[in-house]
Amino acid sequence: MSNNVNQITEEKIILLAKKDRKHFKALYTKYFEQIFLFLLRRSENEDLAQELTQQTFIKAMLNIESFEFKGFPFSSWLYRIALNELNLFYRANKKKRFISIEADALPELSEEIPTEEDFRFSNENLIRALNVLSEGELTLLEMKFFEKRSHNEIGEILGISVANAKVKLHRVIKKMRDFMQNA
Amino acid sequence: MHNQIMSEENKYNIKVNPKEPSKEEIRKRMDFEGAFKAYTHKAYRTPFSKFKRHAPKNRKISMLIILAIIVSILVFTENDEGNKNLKEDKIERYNHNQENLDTLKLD
Repeated sequence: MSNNVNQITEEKIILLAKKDRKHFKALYTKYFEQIFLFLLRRSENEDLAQELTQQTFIKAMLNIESFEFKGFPFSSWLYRIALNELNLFYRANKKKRFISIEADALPELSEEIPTEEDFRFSNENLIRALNVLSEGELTLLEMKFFEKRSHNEIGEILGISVANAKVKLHRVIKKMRDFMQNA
Repeated sequence: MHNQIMSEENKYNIKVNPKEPSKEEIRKRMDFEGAFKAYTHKAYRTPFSKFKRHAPKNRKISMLIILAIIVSILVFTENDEGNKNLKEDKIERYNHNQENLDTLKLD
């Protein structure tokens, strides 16, 4: 119930922000931390994460007219802009991408990569296997295992269907397993 | 366990258990005024907003352009009608001359 009420008030704020961007402040305050941490996990330092977060909100303010309520939360739209900003940054600066890993998440990832002999991979091997993934594949894996997002949420952020997100994730895990078994 | 795996063979820089700033530290980094300023600066640089900003001056120029278009259309159609009349005149004169010639031949 309260979630629904929040959504209605958020919709109202978005409509107000479409008319006057000063109303965007409420959305900025609400989502700054989430977007900042999302970018910090993928960037070199806090200053860079802050800069990219600011860019994300500036782009959001510039393009809020194009945001439509299609059942997706506003945060998914912001995450998508943040991802685009991050990709633009790495492409422009030709730097290596940063990945943040929670060590606690590695056993769970290892369980997701089943082998014929029920073998559990070491953390080092798992980390090494991340290097065979493309940036898109890595983004999927990051969201699922290190940020514990649902398939639904991943689909919303990446602009793909839930089924597609599941299939893609399955392929990523298969790719990692093949690499580790052959290594 | 807080380390960073960085080597030449690695495609990515991998941070394991990175330190996250506190909520207070994140809050200090919030700057809506700055973002809003940057937004207005960017928004005002688009051609449409430039047009909107100079609306009174643009209105006069637009009126002048529209007036010039209307005048040129009128002049063009007037010329066209004049040309048509000239052609009709010529045809009429030609027919009249032909008739005169025919009557002369008959005589």
